[in-house]
Amino acid sequence: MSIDIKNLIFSYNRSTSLEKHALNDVSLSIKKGDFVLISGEVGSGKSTLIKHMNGLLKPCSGSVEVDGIPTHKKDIRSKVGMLFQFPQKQLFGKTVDEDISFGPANFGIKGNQLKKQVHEAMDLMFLDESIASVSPFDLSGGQMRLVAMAGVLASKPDYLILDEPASGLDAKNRKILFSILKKLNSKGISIIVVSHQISDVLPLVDRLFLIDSGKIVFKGSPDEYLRSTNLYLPDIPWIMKELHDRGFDVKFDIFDIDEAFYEVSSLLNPQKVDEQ
Amino acid sequence: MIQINDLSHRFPNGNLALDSVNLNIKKGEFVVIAGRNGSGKSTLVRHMNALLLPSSGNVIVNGMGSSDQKDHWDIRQAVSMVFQNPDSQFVGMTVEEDVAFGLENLGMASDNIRESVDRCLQFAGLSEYSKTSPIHLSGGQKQKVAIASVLAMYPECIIFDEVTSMLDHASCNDVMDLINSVHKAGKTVIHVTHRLEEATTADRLIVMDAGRIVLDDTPSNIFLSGKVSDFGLELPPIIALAKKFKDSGILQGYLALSKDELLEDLCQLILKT
Ligand SMILES: Nc1ncnc2c1ncn2[C@@H]1O[C@H](COP(=O)(O)OP(=O)(O)O)[C@@H](O)[C@H]1O
Ligand SMILES: Nc1ncnc2c1ncn2[C@@H]1O[C@H](COP(=O)(O)OP(=O)(O)O)[C@@H](O)[C@H]1O
Ligand SMILES: [Mg+2]
Ligand SMILES: [Mg+2]
Repeated sequence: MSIDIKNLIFSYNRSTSLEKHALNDVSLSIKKGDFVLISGEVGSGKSTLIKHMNGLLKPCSGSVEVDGIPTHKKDIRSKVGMLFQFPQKQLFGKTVDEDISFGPANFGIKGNQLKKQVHEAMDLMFLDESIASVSPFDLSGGQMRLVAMAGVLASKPDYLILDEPASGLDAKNRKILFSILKKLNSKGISIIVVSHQISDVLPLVDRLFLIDSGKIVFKGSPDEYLRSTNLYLPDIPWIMKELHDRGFDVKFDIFDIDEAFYEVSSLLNPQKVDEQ
Repeated sequence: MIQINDLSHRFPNGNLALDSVNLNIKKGEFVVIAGRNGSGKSTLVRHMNALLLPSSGNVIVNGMGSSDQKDHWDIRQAVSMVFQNPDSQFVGMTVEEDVAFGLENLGMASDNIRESVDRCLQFAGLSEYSKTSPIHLSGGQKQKVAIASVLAMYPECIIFDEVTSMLDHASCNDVMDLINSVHKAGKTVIHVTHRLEEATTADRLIVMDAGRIVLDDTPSNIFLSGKVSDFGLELPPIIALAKKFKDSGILQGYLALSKDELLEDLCQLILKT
């Protein structure tokens, strides 16, 4: 069970004067249950890449398969849920309930089973039952995002793709979002996060793909990433790695501020910290 | 150079986006304005070049009040703005055409335009891209073109409204370097962001919440006060770590504001013990 991309090449406006090469020989594989981050700067091809994973875009050459099924087959749509960068645009129901029901109803789910899936999805997103009858357009931006995500989850996808889910969220809501994603992942759903910023998400993920001008330039675990040279490191692991490289006895796969503080403090005063 | 007195702004739908704001920005200052989404940052800075007009109170730029329409042209000449999304700001087919556009509109002689455009492109580190189409540039390079285009108009003050928020780390640093150079070249700089690491080189940090100014001090003082989290902002990890060492008495003196400074402080400390 996996999403498998082999030698994917894609251009927008092919064979016209406006042709734009967006993906160049991309190969990667994401297993069911994985939590991955796809990162790279704006315009590098991240959104183009993920739109191939649920069949919104078709390869110019190469192949994209979900659990062995090519993405031009309809049946993959229910397996791969996608939350777009501006989830407000994904909302259309007259009420929150109608909006969240739309996906599963479209896949043929009816009656009590439909009610159950909608209820579970709202629960997962900490959405109160009382807003079910409200128009989604009367909600705050943050709540709209939660409703859009519940709408995607109600179809019970095996793979959940989120395009820049943290953009525009403040620190508190980012933490909430990430804890929801961790919870979903622990239920066996693959999480694929697209983000132009690495630091926030890297500690959560199993694997990282870096993309630059339509090419994959790094794939590996966060640990491999930290050990690689000449790639950008978030500041806390950077400090720890610099101390380590200078011969000080500290671990360097540390992202957490408290952990970094403890690690350096115990180097300065081993007894005192042990006693605490 | 910009004086704001008791400024309130109510949008037609009834939203009170600014609530009695008082602010005085001096010529040559580098001011960062931070605050959570919807706190009123964009509304505030749009008053500084008369894109929005006060519901009550007043805004005075170089002695000209923004309520007097005949001064709008002069105010906008003195105070320019660069926005979040560079794509929406391009007008030319090539980078140099784009930078020249504003000057051509002013009817400047073509030799002078050439010279200005070259100077601004060089300043922004874009000389090699002068004949490139903006659509073939990276996000960071596009933002630099937008900045060069504004510089060509020779404003006294430039406002950057979340210009880094769509960029990755490398481009973000590049653009911040350029903003810092713009300030060093003598311009008044007002930089709106929700990333506090971008405030470390500023003279002054202003935090907004619910349409009001809630903090206004040096970045160090604000970071040390521990108050930013009350307003939906987060200390950059490196500064949070430096603050922890300082609060616990392990590090003394100035708060380290960059990773290099903190590394230096920690190395010295470890070698001493
Ligand atoms: N609909 C489109 N038509 C033409 N070019 C496009 C279109 N969508 C994206 N592009 C171009 O393809 C490249 C990759 O874009 P995208 O996948 O959106 O990048 P990212 O998500 O990493 O910001 C960019 O250069 C972008 O301008
Ligand atoms: N054109 C508008 N009409 C009505 N309300 C608006 C408009 N623009 C912004 N607002 C509201 O004004 C407040 C401040 O918005 P803004 O200045 O854009 O905040 P920030 O730039 O800090 O994110 C928000 O509540 C926002 O919803
Ligand atoms: Mg994108
Ligand atoms: Mg804004």
